[in-house]
Order: sequence, then structure tokens, then C-alpha cells
Amino acid sequence: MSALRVNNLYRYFGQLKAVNGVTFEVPHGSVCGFVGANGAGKTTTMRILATLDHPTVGTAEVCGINVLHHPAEVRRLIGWMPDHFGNYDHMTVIEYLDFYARALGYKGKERRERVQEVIDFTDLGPLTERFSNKLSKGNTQRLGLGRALLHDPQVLIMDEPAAGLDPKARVELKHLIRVLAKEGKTIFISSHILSELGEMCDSLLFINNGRIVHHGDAESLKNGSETQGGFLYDVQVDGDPQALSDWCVLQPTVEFLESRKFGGRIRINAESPTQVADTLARMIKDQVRVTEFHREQRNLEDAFIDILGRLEQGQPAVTPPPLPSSTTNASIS
Amino acid sequence: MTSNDFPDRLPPMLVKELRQGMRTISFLGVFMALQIILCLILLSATLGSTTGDSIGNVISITIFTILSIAVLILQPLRGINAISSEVKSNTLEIMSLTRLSATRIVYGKWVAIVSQTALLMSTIIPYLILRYFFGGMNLFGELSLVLIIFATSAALTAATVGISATSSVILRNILPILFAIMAVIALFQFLSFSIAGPGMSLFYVFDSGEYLIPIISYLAAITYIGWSCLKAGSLIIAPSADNLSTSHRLIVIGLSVVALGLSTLDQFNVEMIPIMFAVIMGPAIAIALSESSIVIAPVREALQKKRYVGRLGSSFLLPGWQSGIVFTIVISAIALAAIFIRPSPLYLLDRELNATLMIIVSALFPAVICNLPRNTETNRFDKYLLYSLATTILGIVILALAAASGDNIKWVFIWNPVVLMSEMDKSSEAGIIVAWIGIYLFILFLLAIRNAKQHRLITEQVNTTPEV
Repeated sequence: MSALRVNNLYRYFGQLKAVNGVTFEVPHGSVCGFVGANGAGKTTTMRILATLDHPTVGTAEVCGINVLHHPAEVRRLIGWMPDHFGNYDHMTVIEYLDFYARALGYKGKERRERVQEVIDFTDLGPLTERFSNKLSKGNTQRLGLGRALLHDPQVLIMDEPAAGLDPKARVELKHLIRVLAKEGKTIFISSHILSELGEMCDSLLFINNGRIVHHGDAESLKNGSETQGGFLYDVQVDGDPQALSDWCVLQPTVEFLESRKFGGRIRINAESPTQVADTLARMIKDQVRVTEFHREQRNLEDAFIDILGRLEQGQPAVTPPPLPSSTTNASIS
Repeated sequence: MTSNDFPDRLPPMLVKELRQGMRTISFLGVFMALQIILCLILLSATLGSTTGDSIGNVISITIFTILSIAVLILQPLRGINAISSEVKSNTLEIMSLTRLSATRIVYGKWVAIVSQTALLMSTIIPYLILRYFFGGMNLFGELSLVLIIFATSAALTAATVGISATSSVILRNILPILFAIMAVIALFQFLSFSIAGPGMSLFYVFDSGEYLIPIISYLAAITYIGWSCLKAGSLIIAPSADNLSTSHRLIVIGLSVVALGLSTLDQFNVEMIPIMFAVIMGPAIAIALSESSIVIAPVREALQKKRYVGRLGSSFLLPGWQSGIVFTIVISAIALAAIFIRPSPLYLLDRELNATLMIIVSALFPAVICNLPRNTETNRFDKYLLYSLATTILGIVILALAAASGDNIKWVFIWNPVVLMSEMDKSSEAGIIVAWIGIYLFILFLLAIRNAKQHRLITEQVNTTPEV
């Protein structure tokens, strides 16, 4: 059973199609990044999963529980961290967490223990008596994360948690998310900072105009295998770089893309690393004096733009297989 | 303050609001100012060293005037941003993911302000005891007035807290102005009545049995209106999975039936029937006809699975303004039945019948404007109130213009309930009002059909879209 399962989800606001047929699954204990431009449908999808909105058509499940039919059960399983939330005036950090612990039904000693555990985890100890609305952005996010973890949820849904954070706070937040992932929590996180998502996430979901346009792991995207149809390499040679381009012309599976100061950028159309190794061996055998040969790591922003570009050109996007259809309408009578 | 300052048995919302509220300048400022002013009044009266009825009256009137400003104006106004501030800071949604329901959130906000009001009021008791030594005190009368002021304050706070859930900045800004105007008028009335008028006999009003029924009726009316406002606030912020409408409508129908029963009593003043139903129907229709059009499948299925009774009930008990139309018809029918079952001949009840019909037409008209837009997915209670206000102002302007320039202009604006009402005073013809009620109901039904068709189109469009 998946931690999150979204099947053929639509959400229309009047004529606006905010979510337009989204289908995906996130396995238990994994960290999944949700990527898309502003207005792509990320927040709407996340809000539906968090039981804060309802689908026009389609189903969304958290740990096998339908968000529309059993919202109260789903709320016990999820921790929700929105992109922006304010804190209360005249309320200290400990009072803030205490209020939410009370609201979640914790009483007496158990409530105090939960609050203390969360304070320890988020390292908010020195700030407990400070007013919550006077915290820095980074500490506010820690407090928000602490609040979301009070009831020890299985799934954490985080909408742009790193937005507006300085680099230090971002590193700290990333560290906390890594710890949570190690504890086995499922984390569904959206962000504009793709490089950070790439480091943290087991898989990435790209959404554009309300549709999923890619679902895969960050490594394959960075290496370009899924977006370019081959492996990209940066090769440096001793002597005339022309020797490299001349050699490439004679190879049916190698394409010379651009020349560089000491060599060039090539694409090897191979299906496995073994074939790449064979190509390198051939290159050396053919007297190309290779001094450097390394796989090109593209950044995720480039990969995302590349996917969008391919879609604009009418080429198919990479999508997971559709789930068996069983839809429930959220109908207007 | 630590996390142990309030016991577990207190509701979380109350704990939160008390923690915050007791630290706000608005509460501390009112509390301190009240104490200082009351101290000064008693001190100056003591230094004057005169005793007797007149000085006692002046002290009582001054204490009650100052107390009224604090608890009837300042305290209710603290509720005006109670929920909107949560919406604005995105904390309301976070709260809704806990075990706090929309109702508990709204009531928590209300109870917190009311408990602070109670705290403020309890602090005047020592001054009332001291005031006893100046003579001329009517203990029961003055305590009754304290209770009535408290109940009124609680109802006004419920109104502001309920309305604070709306997204309308205009409404939330208009309300304090209306409050201030009403307060000034009430203050002048109170002072002229108590100083230039019958003086301390005001307090004897509460002693006499003659006023018992009006006072109880007043308390019942403000309790119901306050409850309705809190219900409206809860409905605005409740997620679509929470069905708060069915219970609300059942309670209103129950109250209407009780009112119908009261109307059959011979001792019941027939002139009170339209007033009683105006209080019951006004808020109920406003809430029902401004609800969101969204009814999610689990809510609908829960009601409809009870076979024929469930299906019949769902036509007017299901959430959404569409079923609100049938609900309006049901309670209107009960209100009209209250007139028709009176033993007196109908021609003697013309005024009451017209008044009841006017209440219905006045409640329907803003709902028609409210539901004209294609997208009615959000709750539009604020818009309903604004349209009602605008309709009333427009009607008054038209009547003023008509009075200045002749009657012709009125007929162009006869669709406006205020203008229509002015004409009915003359002709006493219920048929015209019934015709307007029919027109407005017909338009509402057409809008509901359009809404249903629109949804069907969206669903079909979704189902024919190929999967990506």
C-alpha cells in the first residue's frame, strides 16, 4: 500500500482547471519532491491530500484512506506545513505548541512530553519563552515543523517549506527533513529550489498546467538519460581537440555536441554503463588521447525546462503507468 | 506563563484566547480605565458628602452608562477580527486539521471574549455595594439590568465574531460604524429616559411582572440571533466535509413549529407574530440561501441513504443554497400558517399577513442577487448582508426622492422590498407581495437548475478528457 495515492484527480474552480487529471503514488518511507511553476497545481493537489480542499472528480488516499470519505482519519495520519502561516500575537513558543497539543487531544503529562519532544527535535529550547510572532523566518519554520509533528504523523506534507529562508536556515531545515526521512516518515515536499529537492528526494514529480509531466528519480534527471535519450560526457584530450570530433563522426552511437578548450561534449547513445565503457575503450584503442572523461551532471532546473520544452514541441512526457480507474465525484447537486 | 497555567478540562480555544486576550491592550486598557473612572465617581460622590435618592440615582446611572460603553461597544468590537485574523494568517486551516471543529473554533473565540466581559462586569459589583450607602437603591432592578446588559453584550459579541468569519473587509468596517451610531443613539435615549424621564424607576421596570414577558422575549430573541451569527461564522469556515447545515435547519424548523404553537394561544398578541417570525426566519433564510453550492458525495450519501425519508429530507436539509430554497419555502409556510390558524377572520389580520409576506420577500431578494454569478462555490453570507444593506439604503433613497418629486418613480423600483413595503401600507393587498415572492422563488429555482447543469457539464468534460 502506498503512503499517498492520487488517481485521476481533477479540481476545477469555475472554468479554471487547477488540477487536471493527476495520477501518482508515493511509497511509504520515501521522500517525494513536487515541482512546478506557480499556479501549476502543486498547492491545490497538496491541499486536497491534506483534506483542506475537495476534488471535483477523482480520488486521493493517504495510507489507503480516502481523504473525501474519512477526513478525520486522514488528519490523524498527516502533518501539514503550508507555504505561509502566521503566528499568534501575545503567545510564546511553548504556549503555541501547547495549544496545538491540546487541540490534538493530548492531556496532562502526555501533552507536556509531546511538546518537549518536539522542542528538542526542532532545537527550539532556548526560544520557548519568546513570543511566536517575534521569531525569525527560520525559527518560524522550525516551529511550524514542530507543530506539524506534534501528533507524530506518518506522512508529512510540506508546501514550499524553504521559501524565504536564508542559506543557514535552509541547511538546518534540510537536515531535519533528512532525520525525519531516516525515521521512516513519508515526506511529500514542494519547492522552487530544485537542487535542494534533488539532494533530499527519492523521487520527483513535475507538474505543469495541472498535469504530471514527469515522475522519476533525481539522479536520472541529472544524468540526462531520461530527458536526452542518452548519456552526456565531457571529454578532454591531450593534443588537438579536433581528433575527438573526427573520431566521433566515425562512431554511429556517439554524437559530438560542442567543442571545448581541451576537448568536447559528447552524447553516447547507450543503454547501459557497459556500453559506455566499451565506447571509452574503443576511443583509447583508436588513439584518442583521453585525459578526462566524466559524466555531465545537469542541474534539475535545466532538466525541468527541458521537459517543458519537449512538451511544448508535442513530444511525450515521461509518466508512470495509469492506475486502475475508480473515481468518486465531489458533486454539486 | 507555562503550559500548565490552564487545566486540561478547559477547551483549547478558550485557553488560547484567554492567554492572548488577557495580554492585549484593548482588554487591559478597558479594564484599567473602567476601574479608574468608577473610583473617581465614588470618590467625588463621597467628598460631596450628600446622601439620598438623587445622588444614588446619579451614581447608578453613571456606573451603568460607563459599563455599557465598555461591554456593549468596546468588548463586542474585539470580536470583529477574531476569525478573519486567523484566516489571514493561514492558521485557521492548521487548526481545522486538529480535533477542533469549525463550531468549536467559533464558540471558543466567542466564549473567550464573553468571559472577559464577565470579568469586567464582576469588577463593578464592589462599586454597586458602595453605592448602596448613598441610598435609593433597587437591588433586584439593578442586578437585572446588569444581567440584561451582559446578555446583550454576549449577543453583540456573537454577531461580531460570526461576521468576522466573512472575507468582506467592507462589512467588517461598516459594522463598527453602525455600532458607534447605535451606541450614541442608545446612550442619549438612556440618559434622557433615566435623568429627564422617570429616573430610577427604570430599575423598577425589572421588578414588575408586567415587563417579565417582554424581557424574556427580548432575551430569547437575542440568544437566537447570537446563536445564528455564530452558526453563520461556523458555516463559513467549516470544510465541505462537515455538514453543519442539516442540524441548523432542523433546529430552525423546530423553533418555527414552537412559534406556530405559541401563535395559536388566545393570550398571544397577534401583532407579535410577524416580529417573532422575522427574528426566526431572517437569519435562517440569510444563512441558508448564501451557503456554498458544494455538496460533496459523502455528505449527500449520508443523508440520502435513509431511503424515502432521507431523500425527502435532503431536498431541504442538505447543505447548499439550492436546498435552501425549499427550506425557505418550508419555514415560510409555517410562518403563514401561524396567521391562518388564528381564530379571528382573515380580513382582521391583513396587517400581520402583509408583514409576514414582506419579511419573506425581503429575505428572498438579496438571495437572488447573491446567487446570480455562475460560481457559487464559496459561502456568500457577507454578500447577502451587504446586498440587504444596499437594498435598504436604495429603498430609503427612492422613497425620499419619491416624496420630493411625486409617486411615479416608486413603480420603477417596486422590485425593491423597501419600496414595495411602502406601497403595501396603502393598498393592503397581499396578492402583489405573493406575486413578488413567486417571481423571486422562480428566479432562484432557475439559478439552481443552471448551477446543476454547469456541474454536469464539468463532470462530463472531465470524464471525456483523456488521461495524461
